[in-house]
Amino acid sequence: MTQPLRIALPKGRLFEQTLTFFATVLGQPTDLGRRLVVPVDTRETLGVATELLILKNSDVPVYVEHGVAQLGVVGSDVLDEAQPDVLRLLDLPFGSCRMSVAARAEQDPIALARREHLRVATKYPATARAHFAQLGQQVDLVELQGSVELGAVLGLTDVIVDLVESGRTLRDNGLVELETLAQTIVQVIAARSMTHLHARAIDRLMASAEVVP
Amino acid sequence: MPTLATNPAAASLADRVRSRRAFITRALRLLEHWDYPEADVPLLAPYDALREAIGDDHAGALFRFTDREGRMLVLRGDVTPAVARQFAHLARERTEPIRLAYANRIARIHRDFALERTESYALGAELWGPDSIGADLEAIVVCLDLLADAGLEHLELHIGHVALQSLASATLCPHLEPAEIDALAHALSVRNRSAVARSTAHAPEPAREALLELASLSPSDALLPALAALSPAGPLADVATRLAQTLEQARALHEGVVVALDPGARNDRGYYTGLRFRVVCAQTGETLAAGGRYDDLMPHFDAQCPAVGFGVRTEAVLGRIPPDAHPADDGRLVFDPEPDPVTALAAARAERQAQRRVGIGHSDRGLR
Repeated sequence: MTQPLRIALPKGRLFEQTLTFFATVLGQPTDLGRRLVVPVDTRETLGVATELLILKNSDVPVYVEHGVAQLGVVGSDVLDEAQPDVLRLLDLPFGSCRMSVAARAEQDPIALARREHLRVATKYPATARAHFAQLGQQVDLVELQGSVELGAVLGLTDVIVDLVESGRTLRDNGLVELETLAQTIVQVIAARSMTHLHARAIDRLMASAEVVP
Repeated sequence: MPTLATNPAAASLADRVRSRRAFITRALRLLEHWDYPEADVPLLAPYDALREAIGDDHAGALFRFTDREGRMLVLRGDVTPAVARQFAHLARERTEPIRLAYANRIARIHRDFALERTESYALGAELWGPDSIGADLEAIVVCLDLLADAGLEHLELHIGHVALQSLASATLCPHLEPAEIDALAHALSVRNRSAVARSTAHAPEPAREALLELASLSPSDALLPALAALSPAGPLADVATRLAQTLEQARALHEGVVVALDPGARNDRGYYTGLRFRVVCAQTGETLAAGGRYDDLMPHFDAQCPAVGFGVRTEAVLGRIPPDAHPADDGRLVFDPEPDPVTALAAARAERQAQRRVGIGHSDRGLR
């Protein structure tokens, strides 16, 4: 018997937004409790049963690259940082952000740009390293897992490289954006290895989104 | 008096080796039946010769070291170019097709972001000479026959061409700048329909539809004829037409096996130039065997010779062979060497020479 189609979804707001977006096919599962694997009966809509995997954002491409999940939803910030060997099927119309360099408001951006060894706090070391390498600027990276803004606020680092949505967290902590590295989007990714049945089911799921102009 | 006993710990070790050996022996016999004699491939090869043939990235993935004379060598990791280098002289000397099979230990580690896969054994076959659909189908048929003979069922065959997406991008969107064509080809390679739609916004509608279909995971059978029709004369039409015929004839040969177009077939070894196929487990999508056409590899070794072949992922296949296909442990006669080891060992030897399995039951392992 073919395994169900497994879709890896990040916890939190993206999980809700993704379910709403694909509601015509996936329905709206309720009473999830603390379950991490949620079965959804999609045999009529997709021709195969589905399981939703509820994961930490950065773990989504891991499960998809291994082929344990055939499909995943994740931000391009995670994909550009980790560079997993996966297909990037669809850009979703929600969850867009930008990757930016930010510093304390009172700092002189020109002086920062001329500093010989800039200290940078970030959750995205590869992205940050590549950006500053392009500028020809030497950086010392401090990798943080959360509340990256504090790195600059408390003087651990000169600047931060982090994801920005509305900019409110930066403003509320006395930081300003100095430049934008890239716009980030939420994408549907897929494992390169999949069965024909799963491929057809995924194509049907993508077609249901009807976002291709 | 001997006792009959089984040794689960030793049995599980021996089972794995026995299973692999039984599978390899059976596979080589099958390949020999198909006129693919076994060829021995050297353990080491010059790095520079392989790097020229398969490129820096793929040669760099192999284990390299320097010998006492300062020459850089690679450990056998990808047998196809090693076989090509070793036996290219046959292709220069003969005009008839050359068939070779191999089964060798290799050292290859495949690394992605979160995935590290070790390959320690290579089993496969190569057909040099004919550049035809018939030759491509022969490689496919022999590969599937080998897997079926091992007891594997519920297989799918995915067939593609490594140049299909790049040819389609360049041919159907000639109005794009070279960088835009590269971006379109990349969007196709990751199947990003949003990006393909953006890139083809100003393309004629039939071309746009065909490219969007090419970005899907399960394109319809009408795609290849549509691509051929959109470009009546040229490499895209040739590739699309030949691929359509190969698919049709592969389906005729393998009723009961899902045969699907894989529009995203990749040159992931550095030497594939045309047909690329994979046999996958229909339940999980795991690749069990893969192969393709590599017409530009032999000229690196001074042999002008088209070629097609395949390799089996031995570890993946062994994990899927049905349990009753494994040789059973029927126990062995165990002789106690105390108090008279001479008599016990003589008796054990007599039983062994009568083709029975024996063991010596030392009571003290003596390990400290």
